[in-house]
Amino acid sequence: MRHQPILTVNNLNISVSTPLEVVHPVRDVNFALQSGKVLGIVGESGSGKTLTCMSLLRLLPENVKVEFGSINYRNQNLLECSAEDIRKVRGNDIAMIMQNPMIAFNPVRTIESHFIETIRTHLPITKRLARKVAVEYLEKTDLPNPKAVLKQYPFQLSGGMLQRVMIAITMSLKPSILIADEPTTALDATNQLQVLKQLDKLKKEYNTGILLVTHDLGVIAQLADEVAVMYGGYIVEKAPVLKLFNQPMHPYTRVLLESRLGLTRKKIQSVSPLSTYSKNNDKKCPFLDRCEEANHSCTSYNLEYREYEKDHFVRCVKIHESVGN
Amino acid sequence: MKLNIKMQRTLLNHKLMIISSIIILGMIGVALFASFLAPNDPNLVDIAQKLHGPSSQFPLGTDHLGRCILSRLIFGTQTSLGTAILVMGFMMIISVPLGIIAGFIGGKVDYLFMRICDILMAFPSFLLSLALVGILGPGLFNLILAMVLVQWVFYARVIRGMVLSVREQNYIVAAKICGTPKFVIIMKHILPAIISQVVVLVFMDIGGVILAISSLSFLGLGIQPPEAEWGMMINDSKSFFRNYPSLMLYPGIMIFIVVIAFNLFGEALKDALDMKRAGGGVE
Amino acid sequence: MSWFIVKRLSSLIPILLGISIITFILLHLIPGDPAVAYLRLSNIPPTDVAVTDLRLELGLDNPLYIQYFDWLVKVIQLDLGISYLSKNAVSDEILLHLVPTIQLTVTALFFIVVISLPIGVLSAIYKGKWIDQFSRIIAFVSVSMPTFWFGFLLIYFLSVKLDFFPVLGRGTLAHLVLPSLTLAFGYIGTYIRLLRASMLENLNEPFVVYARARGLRQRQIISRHVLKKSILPVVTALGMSFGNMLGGAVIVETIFAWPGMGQLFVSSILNQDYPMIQGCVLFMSVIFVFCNLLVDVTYSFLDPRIRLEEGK
Repeated sequence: MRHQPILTVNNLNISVSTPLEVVHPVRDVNFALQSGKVLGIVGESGSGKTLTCMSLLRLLPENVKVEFGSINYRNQNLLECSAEDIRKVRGNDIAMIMQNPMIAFNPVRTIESHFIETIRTHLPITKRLARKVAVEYLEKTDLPNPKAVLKQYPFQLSGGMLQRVMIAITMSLKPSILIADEPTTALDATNQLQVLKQLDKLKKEYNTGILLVTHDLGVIAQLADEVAVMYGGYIVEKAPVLKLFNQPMHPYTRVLLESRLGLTRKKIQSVSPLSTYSKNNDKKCPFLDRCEEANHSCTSYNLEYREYEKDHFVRCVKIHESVGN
Repeated sequence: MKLNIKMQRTLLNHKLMIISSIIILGMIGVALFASFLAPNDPNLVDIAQKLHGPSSQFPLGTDHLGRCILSRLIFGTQTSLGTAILVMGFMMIISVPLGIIAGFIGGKVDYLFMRICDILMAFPSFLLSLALVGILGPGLFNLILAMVLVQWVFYARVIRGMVLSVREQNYIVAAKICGTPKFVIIMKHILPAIISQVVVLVFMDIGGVILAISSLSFLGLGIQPPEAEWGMMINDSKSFFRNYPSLMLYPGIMIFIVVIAFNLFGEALKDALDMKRAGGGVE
Repeated sequence: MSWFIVKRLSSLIPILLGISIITFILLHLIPGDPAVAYLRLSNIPPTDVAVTDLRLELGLDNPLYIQYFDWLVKVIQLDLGISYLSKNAVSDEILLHLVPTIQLTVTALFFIVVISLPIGVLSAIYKGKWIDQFSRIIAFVSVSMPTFWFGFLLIYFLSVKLDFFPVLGRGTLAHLVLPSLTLAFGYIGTYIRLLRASMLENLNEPFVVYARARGLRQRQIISRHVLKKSILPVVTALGMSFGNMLGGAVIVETIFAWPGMGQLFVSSILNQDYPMIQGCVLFMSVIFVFCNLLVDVTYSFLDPRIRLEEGK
């Protein structure tokens, strides 16, 4: 019954070189995205969410490398195709919405020039037509007075408006995939709702698959079909959204949900994000130091990622043990 | 693992710093021991020997008045470096206290200071120095005076900026709250906090000062004959350089080498300081 | 917009007043009695009677502020006095020499931009590669080279040895190349490094990442996004450099026998032609001030943040 996924990520491993050492903030990440579905990725800052997103379009900074793995989109491995091929994919097939809309636009250029250049990069149409398209899509995002918005500079608009402009730019090219990295974090509650509505519209109207990265479980609950929980560079649990909320398996997921619902006074010890990165190649459960359920078997665990139930993957030795082989 | 870029930069910096400081120290040595190193009297005119090529008596030949070029170059080190150091020194004597006072006290004092800066900086500075020398009359003393009077303002403003950036640091605010006298705060906290930046500033800029001094001398407004100075030597060679290009070549090379050595040293020093401030860097 | 210009213009008034006061005082720094100096330069024996008459005529016995006020009124009417040397009106002489200097500095500005722009951009894009190393060397050489020496080198190799360019004077466009190149050379290094640093600062900004994520071509990103923002500090700095270039023009004009303000200025200094010295300083400073105003206005056109924020 499974649909053919439109994007599959296999065994993604990313390394960052700092002057002192090489760290591995993303390890063994696997997931698949289907058309018209939303895959949410949750995790705290430093868990590797953003780097995973950026690597999909090969937008990693210079000192960050994909060590191995593959990213397959429509029968091509995005990690291996030419620079020109990946450029054509960006925006047109796989679009992206940036974390902080206030700094994602060039402050010395108008909204119009951002919009038109994006459309005209991918479609052979005139400026005049591109402008019409821009107005049309700005209207779809319920922005008041789209023509005036086009003439304005980014710093004249609010974060929520800019986020909707980004969504409008994305929509105008009808991409098959949208990567939305913390699309609501910088916004207030009303604007958050607006943006989520727009994303939903995008999914339904154009059958776009959305990779929704956030640390906000509320956003996930509203929009996602499937959720992957990331911790310390690993996906520690992945399941359809209801299943994850109802039967969280991994200790980290459980703590995350409990803290969200306010059911517990337990606090996860806060640890600086960098220390959760695996520094070298030793395979060790990333949550080991903070896990309250850890025991001796955890130390010798090989971090096997197992499908515990249909579509429900977990990376925890205790779950594997309790379920039995 | 490949050597990262920052580390390579550091190593390169070390090399540049060593080379440039050797040149600078060498030049200072030449200046100090000029009278021992120079083969001839630099000011001895002998028209019979004019415009000779290199010989055992005159290793680099003679100029249009028959003076030994090498000796003049060697003595020129004294005047050029000495004047630059004097100019820089006087400028610091004026601009460090003024910059600190304006930055630390702030308020009306600072406002007045900034307005004076605005006005002085509205002049093209080299032109104003020229005009001052022109009005006071040429000569070493007037040249130093003219440069210091015009340029101190640039340094004072930069130093004021440095003070502003340390003034709000917690330990200084704490000292103020404890009622530490202003003078003590300045001497014990502010000055040590900015001194390394000031040193970098001095080394970054002294090359420019040397260039300005030699430019003034080139125009005949600085050091007066017969005293040897590189800029003036180039001026002297103006009428002869088509047939005797070496007359102009040697002093130019001297200026160039000294200035580039100071600039490289200043740059390396600045990088080293940036790295230290960025938190350790790579040792 | 016009509001911005008005505000900027009004801020010039105290600065122009300050400039006028300093240039006025300049003449009072002359060692000895200016009347005596005037007579000596005019080859009139400075007898007591002659000095007293002249002091009366020049108003030198009035209090300083009245002298300043009288002088300022004349200056505003463009009356800068009579040159001791040529006996012409200072303002006429200055206007006569102004055009060649403007030609020289504007051409030099052109060279600075045309040469440092591509090198600066390339050395930012290819940071650490050979072009970046090369630009670093160029930068050090350019700021360490004495202008006058560089001018002579150009004359010696390109005019005397190779005969590519005319040596001295002003006339054809070819006459303009070497002087303006000499004037420009010292700034090229500074601007390469400035543009490089500014580009590097912007290259990793989120707006560049977003531009890449939208699939824009590298060239588009560099020229329309990064360069457009990185050029802003360069524009400001060019305004500051213009004042230094007026100073540099003095040297370049002396070397190349270029009949501009610089030569006029140097000859007035060497001949102690005080009204001319004063006139030149005043005039060039005012030009510099207005150039900076022009730069500010240009900047506000290039940076909508300034233009639109100020208007509020």
